[in-house]
Amino acid sequence: MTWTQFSLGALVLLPMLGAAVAMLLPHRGRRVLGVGTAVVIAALTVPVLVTVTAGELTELVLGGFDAPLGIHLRGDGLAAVFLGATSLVGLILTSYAAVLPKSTGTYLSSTAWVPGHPGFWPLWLGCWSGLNAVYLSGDLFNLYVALELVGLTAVALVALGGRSSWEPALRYLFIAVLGSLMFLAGVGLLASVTGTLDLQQTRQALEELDDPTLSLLALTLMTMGLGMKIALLPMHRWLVPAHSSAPGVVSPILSGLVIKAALVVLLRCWLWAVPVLPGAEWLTWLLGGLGAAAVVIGSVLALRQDRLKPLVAYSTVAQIGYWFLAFPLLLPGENDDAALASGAYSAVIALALGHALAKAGLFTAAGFLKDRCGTDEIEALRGAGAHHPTLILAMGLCAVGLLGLPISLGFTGKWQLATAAVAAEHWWLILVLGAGTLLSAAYLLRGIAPLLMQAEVDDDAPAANPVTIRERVGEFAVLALGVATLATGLLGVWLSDLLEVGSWW
Amino acid sequence: MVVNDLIPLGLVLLSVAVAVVIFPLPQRLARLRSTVNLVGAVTKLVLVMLLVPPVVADGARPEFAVPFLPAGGGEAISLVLRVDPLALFFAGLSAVLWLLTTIYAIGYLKGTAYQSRFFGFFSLCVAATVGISFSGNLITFLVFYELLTLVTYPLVAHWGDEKSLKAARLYMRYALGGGVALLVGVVWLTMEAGPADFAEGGAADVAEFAAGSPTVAVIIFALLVGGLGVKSALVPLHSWLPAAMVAPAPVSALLHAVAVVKAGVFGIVRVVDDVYGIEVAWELGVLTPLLVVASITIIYGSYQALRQTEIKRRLAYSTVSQVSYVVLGVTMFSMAGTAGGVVHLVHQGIMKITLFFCAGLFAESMGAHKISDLRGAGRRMPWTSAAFTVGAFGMIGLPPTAGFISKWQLGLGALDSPHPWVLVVLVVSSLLNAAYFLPVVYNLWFGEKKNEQENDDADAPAIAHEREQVPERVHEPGPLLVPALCTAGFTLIVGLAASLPFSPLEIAQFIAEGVFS
Repeated sequence: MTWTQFSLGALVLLPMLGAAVAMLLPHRGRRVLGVGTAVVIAALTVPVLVTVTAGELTELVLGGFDAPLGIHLRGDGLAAVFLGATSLVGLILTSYAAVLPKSTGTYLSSTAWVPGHPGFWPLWLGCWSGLNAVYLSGDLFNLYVALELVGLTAVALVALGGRSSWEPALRYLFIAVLGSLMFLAGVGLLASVTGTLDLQQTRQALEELDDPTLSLLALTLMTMGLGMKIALLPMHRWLVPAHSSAPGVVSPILSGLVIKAALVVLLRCWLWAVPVLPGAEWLTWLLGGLGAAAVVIGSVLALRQDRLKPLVAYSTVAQIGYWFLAFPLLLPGENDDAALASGAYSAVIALALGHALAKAGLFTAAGFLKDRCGTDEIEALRGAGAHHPTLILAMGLCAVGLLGLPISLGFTGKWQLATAAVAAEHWWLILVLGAGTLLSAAYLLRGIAPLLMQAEVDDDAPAANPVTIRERVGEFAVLALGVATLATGLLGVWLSDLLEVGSWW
Repeated sequence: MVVNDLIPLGLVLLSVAVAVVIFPLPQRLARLRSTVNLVGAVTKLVLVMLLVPPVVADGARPEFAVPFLPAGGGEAISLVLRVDPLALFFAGLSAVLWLLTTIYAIGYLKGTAYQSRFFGFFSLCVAATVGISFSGNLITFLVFYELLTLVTYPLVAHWGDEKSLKAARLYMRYALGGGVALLVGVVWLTMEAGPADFAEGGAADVAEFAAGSPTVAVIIFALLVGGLGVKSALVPLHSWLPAAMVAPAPVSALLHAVAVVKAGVFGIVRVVDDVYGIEVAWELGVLTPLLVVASITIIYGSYQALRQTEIKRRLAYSTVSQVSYVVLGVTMFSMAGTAGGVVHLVHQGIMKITLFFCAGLFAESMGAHKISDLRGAGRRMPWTSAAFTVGAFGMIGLPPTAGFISKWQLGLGALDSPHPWVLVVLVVSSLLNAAYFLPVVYNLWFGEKKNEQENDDADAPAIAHEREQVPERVHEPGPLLVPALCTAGFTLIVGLAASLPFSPLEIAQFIAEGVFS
């Protein structure tokens, strides 16, 4: 077993072990354990990235049972880039939560609501284990199990936010379960035809199949189920209350990482498990159309919010649209060349990763302000920037990434999408990209500009409530996300090289 | 001197480093902040000056490239920073004016809040400008151009009141709209003709593509110039500029003289001369419409300037008009005209920044915001008024100022070009310039303070009366006055010494020869 293979296994099992141990520890011990686990996970990601950069695919068969029966982990390009982003974001957010425990929710002690929920730690580490398993899974059933783990821990994380978050959490639970069921039904259909759950074997079996109707039905079911979990418009209604009422550090986990898990599964289904189906054309156009609608409607709804966290949540709805815009370009048709499809694929990944960093940063900042000022109403936060220049700078950097301005992965992704659109002569896509950029500028300005205003009362508030050292450290965690948003913008070429490894073409 | 390829990168990072050091500095460490700022500015100026002889005389082209965007199947598109004469020309302007504006801003903002934020973004703004000047292809240009939009937003919104935020929002709306148009143009051109490295006389790939499909080439040209036209305030895309006047005076100065407006015009020069190439652009027939737009902008801007009663707004419209001389020069399709346009990049910068420095001084020291407030200011603030006068004469184009050289060169170019009617535009515009600047100058030196009694407080008529007899000198703060005098001096020196080696005019002529080679 090589180091890289060991890392693949450990990336899934270590956070799980951490979650189990955390349950036995007191709150302080959980925080120390959480940060320690995060550091080790980040270190374990390095060998995977190095191996994939060298152009090699790593596989690990747990327990020696081969496909189609065993658990089969595959460290390919897609897995590696998402592992890398998750480790980075996860490490920063874990440190933030450890430094500022009140961002992890509130719990009801015998008499009152107490800030800081110790239940966050096992749940988050369990969620992380599920995320890594989603990225690395090589077969459909494991994808389902891992996605279920992510979904259920995410619901529980939302519920940590106290009474006001229970209703959104319940709603999220319904959607998560319904989405999983539809996905499972699709998986079952495929397995009944192919007799296997392994991604590659499924594809081979389907290619030999004459009648595409059943696989098309399965693909549609899986897509709908995953669409719910990703919150593609018009299935987005659950996302906004869930993400905005979640505790300060949970919202960035949900927006930055959890919905990406469903995206990865969707890409695995469309590009790895199922070959190009003759009837799937309309489905890609439907997804593209919904994506365009999400970009426009999500942005307009974001523009109409009076509170910061719902604004950021609606911005997620809009950004999700970009990933689906690329679907009509994603499948190589008869006359389109493969370079186009790979460009569109790499664009989706760049956009999703850029979003993971930037949105995690922006949501953390919004949660920080809410925890500190007691409210996230934009009017009430006027002039808050005066006492938190670092935070405002960080928010600005994240906004660059969300806007898709250079230098950020958001820009790289938009660039690749736009060039693919020009090559395929899909001009409407350019229009949507342009409109989306301008609208997102409008809502981000609406959210951030009032913070720059000079506060009307300058003297009393800060004196009563000085910024603590811990809060300063928290601000720098957000700044780290902001800087990462820009710095990763220079990695676009490396990213698209990584994605070549173990790709479906 | 050994010319290292890392120099252009170093020059960009220098300003970024200054910003990174300044941002976390607490408000009270004013001395340290000023020191860091000035050391950075001086170092940059020295480095740029040292680059002039090897690049202009020996033909060295230091270049730094790093792969940036993956291209489908083909070679990755790089971020390229390259020093060529035009780049150096613009970088030199920004280096000189950064130093002077920093000195001015330190004096201007003394004792106000949020200085670390201001100077941090100020340095980033300069970094973006340097990046724009050294950009070696359109994608790199685009990166720094968008960066410039972002970092100037907090500067325009600096005072944090309702009016500033509104102006900043308007600016952002225009700039991002232009940015999107530019992005679409760049994407399209890159798809059709590759990454379009800037080359003297135009990129070969673009020329080939333009010959193949002229219609698409024209559409892309329109997108590029339309996007750039927002920042360069071509009519009808100019209305953000007068609104942005609410920013602190050093910001206005920088915006008008070297950063935002100039970045737009510089982009147009690059697109016409180094991407399409002037011959190709001429054959596509895109130069004449642009020339007409520039002419309209010149006349309209001057006309609007004439109607303003506030000093800063008049200057803003004057910028709208003056900056289009550059576009006029490069689109009239003659070598002398191109040289005139390019040299005006620098000349307009130093003249306009003089005027803005003075306007800020008048506002700070006498509270004068309207032109009528300036009556008799010549006796109260003689040095400032003298500098303003030099700047105003430059704008009109009177010898021996820099403005005269520009207009002379443009006039020569017009006669030499297929469009001799441009000369009429120049003459009309100069008359309008005189019409809106001469009354200000007259007010300064010969105006009587007629409304003194009404303006002053009711209990101080006696003092006012006394002041009318013996005009009281108003203190002109050194850090504000010295930069203004320096740029006024440059306006004269550049005008007098236009034929010396390495003068702006000589370098501009060298660049124009490259364009037509």
